[in-house]
Amino acid sequence: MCQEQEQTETLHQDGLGLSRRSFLRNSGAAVSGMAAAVAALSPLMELDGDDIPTIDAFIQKHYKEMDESDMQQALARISAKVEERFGIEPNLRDIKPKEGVEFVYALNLSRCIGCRKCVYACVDENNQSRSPQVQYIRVLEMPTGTLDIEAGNHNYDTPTVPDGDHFYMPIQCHQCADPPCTKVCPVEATWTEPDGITVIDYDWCIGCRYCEAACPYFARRFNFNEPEILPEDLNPDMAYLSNRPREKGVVEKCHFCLHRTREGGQPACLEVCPVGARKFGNVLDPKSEVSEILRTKRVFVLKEDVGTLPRFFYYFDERYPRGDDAEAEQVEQVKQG
Amino acid sequence: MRLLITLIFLVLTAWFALGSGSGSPPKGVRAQIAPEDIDRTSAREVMGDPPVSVMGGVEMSCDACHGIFESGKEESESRQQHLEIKLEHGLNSRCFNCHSRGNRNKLILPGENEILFADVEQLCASCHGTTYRDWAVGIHGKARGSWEIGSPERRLMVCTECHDPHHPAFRPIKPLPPPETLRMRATERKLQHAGPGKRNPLRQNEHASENSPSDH
Repeated sequence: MCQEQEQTETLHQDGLGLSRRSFLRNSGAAVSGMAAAVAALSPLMELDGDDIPTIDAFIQKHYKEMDESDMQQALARISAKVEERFGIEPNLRDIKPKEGVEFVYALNLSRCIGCRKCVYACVDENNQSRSPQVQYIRVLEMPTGTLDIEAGNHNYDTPTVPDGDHFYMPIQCHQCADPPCTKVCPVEATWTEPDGITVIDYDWCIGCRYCEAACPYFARRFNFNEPEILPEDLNPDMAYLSNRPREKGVVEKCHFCLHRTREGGQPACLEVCPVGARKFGNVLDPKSEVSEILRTKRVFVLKEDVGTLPRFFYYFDERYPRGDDAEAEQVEQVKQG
Repeated sequence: MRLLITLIFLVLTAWFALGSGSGSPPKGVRAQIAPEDIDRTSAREVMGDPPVSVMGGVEMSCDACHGIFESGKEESESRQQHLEIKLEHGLNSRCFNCHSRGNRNKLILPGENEILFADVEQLCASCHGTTYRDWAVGIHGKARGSWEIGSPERRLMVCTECHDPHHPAFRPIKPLPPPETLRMRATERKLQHAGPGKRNPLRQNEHASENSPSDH
């Protein structure tokens, strides 16, 4: 300001040293600053009642510290929410692991045809978001002759499967014995249960995605958006740690269908597989097929060098790669005489 | 100076208040999956006892005809009935390897022992012994109901629930849709038919069809 203006300023100041002009100027700046700040916070206007946690949800204890009545309260709260959202009363319970059971999965790569039925049966069983799509299982189309995952293609859409040049490798959470994901969780929302399954408490997860970054197998999925599940998609048979509906901002992953398997059932992916490539069971039982597979087949795990000790084993057991069936050629020759 | 600050703040206000709001990630599309594609109870229809066949639109038991008529020569190609069956069972091209010549209501094991259709796994085991051994443990095929050995819910699926005995090899099927990954859809479409990746050592052998998949 030039000298004249300064003099005019001083002339018009009141007892507090504040002139009308300076008041208007300062308050103009301050008010517009506050308006900008409020406008910047305008996303808060889009919050609705659902986003704000209830008192019960807010003071809920960690799963490992909850006693029976705390759990019943939590289950009641979640059931009420499911009923309100979908209009269907769920069978929601908390299923504890069985004694003397450690689950192991084995997958026969000679049998898998890459049909992806396991992917969508899992989505159907576990109340995953349909849009954006959340799929726990990712099937890789691998060229025969290599196990280099970088060579895999998960976007294959050939008219029929299998084709002779590829084998197919479905990948889901391996429920590792030494998992990196549980070590990096800052709030212990994910941990390994006594039967080997790595579980997530969706109410405790803060959505930082450290676990998603730590997993070497891309097993974990994050809900970037509110999951879209229609009432006709809902599976009402739910457990607290497995397939109850999740919200936006939490991580989820394969949990070996623990709401089925802890009660003796088979996982959905195994039940739907049309070629019987998947095998599941209790590795602590020497008579189970997974024990037999680990004893007799040449099993391997993915990324063995990172030391995660997966509980998911792959193996081949046919003599020839599919597109190169010497026996079929021999049969043809014999038939032609 | 303060006028400038005021103007800047007013512009920011307009930007935040009138702008696109909190942007959310793209929603993507639902995959279109028919329920029968993921039906977990699906299985082939297994022939029961007594076996029946649909002849001219009528369901008849096998001995209705075969109890009366003699069968012709043994080659399957000289059949005059049951022409919809094309026997493609590898080297097994003889109907009477499995079907009892004297009693078409039964299957036959090597050594001329007749068995019911319900015991078909005994017949399959007579040639595919190693597969049967794996199946009995649960390694081959599928066990529905329970993983727990000894549980009454556990049921091993019988051979013919998956395999058509006249054409046991599975036919290729159409795969279900690929994942919607949102972020990289455009670039991934380009890579869809890339085959071995850039860093794959097999890439060297791409044009050398003589070489077998190597010892990498």
